[in-house]
Amino acid sequence: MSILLICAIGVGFFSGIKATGNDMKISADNFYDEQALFDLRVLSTFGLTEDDAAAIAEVDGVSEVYTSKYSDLAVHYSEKEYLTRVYSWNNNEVNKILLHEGRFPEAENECLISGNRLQDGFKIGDKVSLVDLTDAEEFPLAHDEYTIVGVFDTPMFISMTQKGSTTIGDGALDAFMYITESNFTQDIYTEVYVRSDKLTDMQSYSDEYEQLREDISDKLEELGKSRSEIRYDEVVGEALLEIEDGEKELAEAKAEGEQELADAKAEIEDAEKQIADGEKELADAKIELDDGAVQLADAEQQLKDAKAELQKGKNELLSNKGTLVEAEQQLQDAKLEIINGELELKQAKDTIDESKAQLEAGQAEIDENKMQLYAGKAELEAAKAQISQGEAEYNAGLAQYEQGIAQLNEGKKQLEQAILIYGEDNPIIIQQKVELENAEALLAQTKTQLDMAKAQLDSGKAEIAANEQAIAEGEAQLAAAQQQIDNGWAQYNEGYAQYEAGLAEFQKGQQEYIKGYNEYLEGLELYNDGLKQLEEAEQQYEDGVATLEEKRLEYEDGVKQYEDGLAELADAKKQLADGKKEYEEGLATFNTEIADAEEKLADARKQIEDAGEAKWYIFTRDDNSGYSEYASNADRIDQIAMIFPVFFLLVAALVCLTTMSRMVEENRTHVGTLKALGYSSSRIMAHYMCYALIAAAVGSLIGAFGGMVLFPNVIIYAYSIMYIITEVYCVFTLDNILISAGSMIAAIALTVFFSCKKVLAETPAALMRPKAPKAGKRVILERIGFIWNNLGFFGKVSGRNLFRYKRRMFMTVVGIAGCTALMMAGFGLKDSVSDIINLQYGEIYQYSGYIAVEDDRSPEDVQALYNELLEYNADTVYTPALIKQYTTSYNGTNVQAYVTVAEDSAKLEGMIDLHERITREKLSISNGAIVTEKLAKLLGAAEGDEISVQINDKETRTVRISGITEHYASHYLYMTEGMYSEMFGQLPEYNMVYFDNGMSDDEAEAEAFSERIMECDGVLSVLLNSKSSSSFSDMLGMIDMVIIVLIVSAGALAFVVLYNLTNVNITERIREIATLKVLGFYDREVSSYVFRENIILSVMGSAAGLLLGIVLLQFVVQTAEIDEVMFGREIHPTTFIFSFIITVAFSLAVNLIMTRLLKKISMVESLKSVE
Amino acid sequence: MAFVTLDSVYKRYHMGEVTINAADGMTFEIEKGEFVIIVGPSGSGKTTVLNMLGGMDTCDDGIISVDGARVDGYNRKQLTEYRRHDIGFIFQFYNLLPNLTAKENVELAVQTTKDFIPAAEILEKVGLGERLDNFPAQLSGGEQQRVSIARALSKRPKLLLCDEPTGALDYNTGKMILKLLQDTCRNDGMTVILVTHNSAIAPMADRVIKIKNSKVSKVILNENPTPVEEIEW
Repeated sequence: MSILLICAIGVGFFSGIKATGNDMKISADNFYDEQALFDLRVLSTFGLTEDDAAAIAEVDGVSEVYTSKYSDLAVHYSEKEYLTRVYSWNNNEVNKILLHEGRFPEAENECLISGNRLQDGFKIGDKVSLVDLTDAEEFPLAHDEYTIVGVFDTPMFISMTQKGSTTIGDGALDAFMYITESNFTQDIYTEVYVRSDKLTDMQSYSDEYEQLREDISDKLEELGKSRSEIRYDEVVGEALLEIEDGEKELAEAKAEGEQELADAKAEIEDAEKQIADGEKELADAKIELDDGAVQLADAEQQLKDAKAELQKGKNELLSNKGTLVEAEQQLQDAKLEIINGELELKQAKDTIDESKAQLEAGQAEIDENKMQLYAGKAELEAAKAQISQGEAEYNAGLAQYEQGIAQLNEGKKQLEQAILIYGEDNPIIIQQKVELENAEALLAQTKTQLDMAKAQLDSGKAEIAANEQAIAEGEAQLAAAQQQIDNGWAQYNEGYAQYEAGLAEFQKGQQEYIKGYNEYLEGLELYNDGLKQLEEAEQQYEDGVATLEEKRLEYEDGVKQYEDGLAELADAKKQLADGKKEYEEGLATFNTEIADAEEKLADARKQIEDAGEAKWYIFTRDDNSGYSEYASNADRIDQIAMIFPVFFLLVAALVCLTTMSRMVEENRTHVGTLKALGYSSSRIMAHYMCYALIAAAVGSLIGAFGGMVLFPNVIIYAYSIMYIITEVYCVFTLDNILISAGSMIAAIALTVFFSCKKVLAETPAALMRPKAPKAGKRVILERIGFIWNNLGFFGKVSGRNLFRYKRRMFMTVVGIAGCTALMMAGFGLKDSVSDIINLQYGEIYQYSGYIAVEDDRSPEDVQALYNELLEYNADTVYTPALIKQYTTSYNGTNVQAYVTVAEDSAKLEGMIDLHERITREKLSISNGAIVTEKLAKLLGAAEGDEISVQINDKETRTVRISGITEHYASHYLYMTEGMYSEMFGQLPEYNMVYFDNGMSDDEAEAEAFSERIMECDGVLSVLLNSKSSSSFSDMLGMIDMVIIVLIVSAGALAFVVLYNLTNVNITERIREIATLKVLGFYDREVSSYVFRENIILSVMGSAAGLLLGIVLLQFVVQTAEIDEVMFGREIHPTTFIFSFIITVAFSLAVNLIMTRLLKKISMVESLKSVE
Repeated sequence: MAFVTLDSVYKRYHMGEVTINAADGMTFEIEKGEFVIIVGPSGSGKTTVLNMLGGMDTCDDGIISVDGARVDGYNRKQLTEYRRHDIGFIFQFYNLLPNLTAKENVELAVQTTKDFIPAAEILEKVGLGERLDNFPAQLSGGEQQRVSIARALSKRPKLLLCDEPTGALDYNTGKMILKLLQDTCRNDGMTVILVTHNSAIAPMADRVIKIKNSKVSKVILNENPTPVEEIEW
């Protein structure tokens, strides 16, 4: 049973995935056939005619031919613009559409439209308006508004995202439309669809199909050469003839017109001359007038000056007269003064003379007094001498007196002594005494004399002193008198000097008076002269004024004449200007008409030249990107089938082997019995073989058919998100079944064969005995002392057990490793896919979004848009940019990529993180063109290589790659404005504005912002990063589906593998387990004894699986990648963790289930032994 | 009450419509320290009795008591514990773990108990002191059985149950094993219950329980058991 299950899973997965690729192609082919999709498509540079179509129909292999017209236009619907290819309705004969709702168009203004039916939501009954984005003059359709009557998908473009390229807008078509053919203004057909019955019978993607298609294509091309020539002659010949006619007509008209113009010109020139003459005359007159005016002004000025002078003179005379009168008065006053002065002077002279006489008398008196004084002085001197002599005599008398006193006193003394001795009565003494008394009396007499002398002397002295006083007084009086006299003299001298001075002054005044008088007389004369002159001048002035008046009148007459002349001239001039204008207008009209005509002719010629040779282009289904992408997706599934399921199948086969060999071992007793009973070895072998093969075959077939239905359905369903193909055709290909089931069955058969052979080789007796359990032995681990010794008892047991069954250990590890690796590949793939969004929109795209703007927007619109952006958020960074799809190629590989040029590269670099993926090195556009990583990989180009870009139908240019940037979604070629200009020979026409305003992912906010911006003029659409990111994740959802299939399958396999191996393990060791139970081990202990090994193996297997998974994942990621995107290359830690945990969890789950089984093991039964 | 009592014990197997009675009302008693031999022909139900006694199987009816405990009412866990602590088993085919050495096989048993005789000691006792580190495959049958006995004895069981311990051994080796068992019983006071179809060895027992058709046909108490050496068969 387990063999059946494992076979079913293994084969189912392998054949299912393997079949998917093929089924996808077959489903697609059926779809194409049912929709009658064209096999080939013919286009011509000159369009195609009915005749061309007829000729094509004649080509060998062509069964049906359909003509069609189309035009690429912009459709406006609910504020969005869709670049749409508008086809003529073909009555659903070829390229049958899938009409989702509505009906086919009938009236002229009805249309069918296709878009992304999930997103766009075209509603029946709504109207769409069409706009021509090219600069063609005529709108290619009869109407520019159509009513939607149906919504469809076309088999021509099966991809939901890639709808082919166009020459308008951003180069990628968004939608298709069908309208009735009568709408098209052009007569010729745009393209012809070719179908071949033979091709229909073949598989669309087969080599056979491609070969035959190539043959037909070659034939058509051959036909194209001759048909093109015919068409060319037809179109170009006609056109040339027309052009020549036109040129002739033009030449005639030109000559006529030129003559007329020349006449007109001559007339104008005459008039101009006359006017010039008149102008000259007037100019002369004007000069004269101007002179006159100047003269008049001069004269007037002169008169004015003269008048002023006259007035001045008058004033002067007047003031002079005043002065003269004043001077006369002064003179009279002076005369009076002079007379007075003379009188005064005489009086002064008299006074002076008198005082002189007085002075002289005074002097004489003084002199006399002086003489008297001198005599008194001499008398005084003589008196003084007498006194001095009397004094001396007095002094001598005094001295004698004193001496006599002294002698008296002596005598008195001696008497006294002698009294004492002799007594008083001694006669001598009385004598003596009388003598003394005599002497004394004498002396007293002398004294009186002396005093008398003294008195005399003193009075003499006083007299002298009085005399001296009197003399001193006299002297002082004299001195004072003298002083008075001296003063008087001084006064006199002064007075005299004054007098002298007064005299001199008087004389001077007298002279001045005389002089003044003379002056006065002179002044008077001058005054009279002046008066006379003034009168004369006044007369002259009056004369001048009269003359001036006369001249002025004359001048005014002149001016009037001049002005008349001027007016006449202006009239003449105006007439001339009118004439000239008429002439110029005539000339301009003539020129433009001629130029227009010439241009038209030139255009026509150029068109013919540009048209170049008429050429047919043959396209196949391959040129529709969806068609070939679908095939490459199918191939990719095939590639996944190459590695994934093979791996899967291997693991399954491995498990089968283990199971089978055990089964045979288990049945050895049975084999022994059979053998003992005499069955031949081959019969016994056949018995087992039969059993195994039936199980394997049934399992494989169930798996094969189940898988081949399940997997294609799931995967194609997943792809139906991207492609319109929904119907799945499951084809059970025999080789597929043979390969998968065959290899599985063969593997099992071989196992059975070898196991049986081994068993059969033994004798029946040996077989009857139970196989001796494998002998225990020491394992390597025991030699490593420190590990072994540190293990617990059960650890040692487990260790030994692990190494005992090496084969099983190996099988388990490989099986589990395989499952882990598969799971890791699944998870890793999921990571890689989600990384596209996380890294692309989270890290690389830093901008908030971009705004598509109209080609013919005005600079004001653009500025208004910028203002709006800034108003929304003042910190908004923005730069206009060009994003346009071109075909890039390198070494023959072509890839569609978006050339992106920003006006401000630095800003763009701020919004798109350009860096090398591995080194994280920053890249700058200014260093050269940068391509995205996947583009470089697809082209096979490296840094420094030159890739070519097809810039239009004919020319390609090369550009050197200077850097390769990490990038996941779509392909871009970044360059600077300068590089673009150099490459394309023109400045980029910016059609986008990148902006970064840090807005959140909030949907409502995004909605509001978009609406605001859409209201600006010239805005086509707003694409926010948050929205692109979510629509991208929708698109990648289908890959998730495939991944889930992988993970679930891997999980299932992991489970089966573990279950099986554990089962084998338990069965083989059932006696051991029973013994443990008998020994009284709890259930828990028994389980852990058994499962410890399992867990160790699971962990080992998972670890090995992680390593294997890295390799597997890398391979899978690289093969499973869609061309449009690059998957993330990083393996997330969660991938490791999840894969590991899930595997271990499966292992635990298996153990849990097995625990129940262990519990059920009966000791009695198991140990019953072979009795 | 006796050390071991079986009272009307029934064990029935259902094979489709037919019901087979492996034990059909068995009743007997065993005293502590006795060497008991249960003897009967193949299929008589002797092994069933041993299994029930050893807690490897349950009875459908009747009373089994060991050392005063009612084994018949034990649940799964109690039975496990009973086997773990009270019972030592010896099988015909030894049932040693091939991946463990002699010593390790003994140690395996005592992992579950606390009161045990060290492996080396007990192996010494059974005469395998030299073969401690040999794997079962490297030992002869008798040696293997001795390991098995050592394993059973090491945890000091209350009962030593032996299921045809000599069945796979030659005569001499078998005798040696029986001697060992008898000595164990005599010297250590161990209650040994031995199941065999070989009635020749019955005389060595203290008590012989004869079983026939899933019933106890006869219980013989032997006052003077014959030493093993003297028995021949």
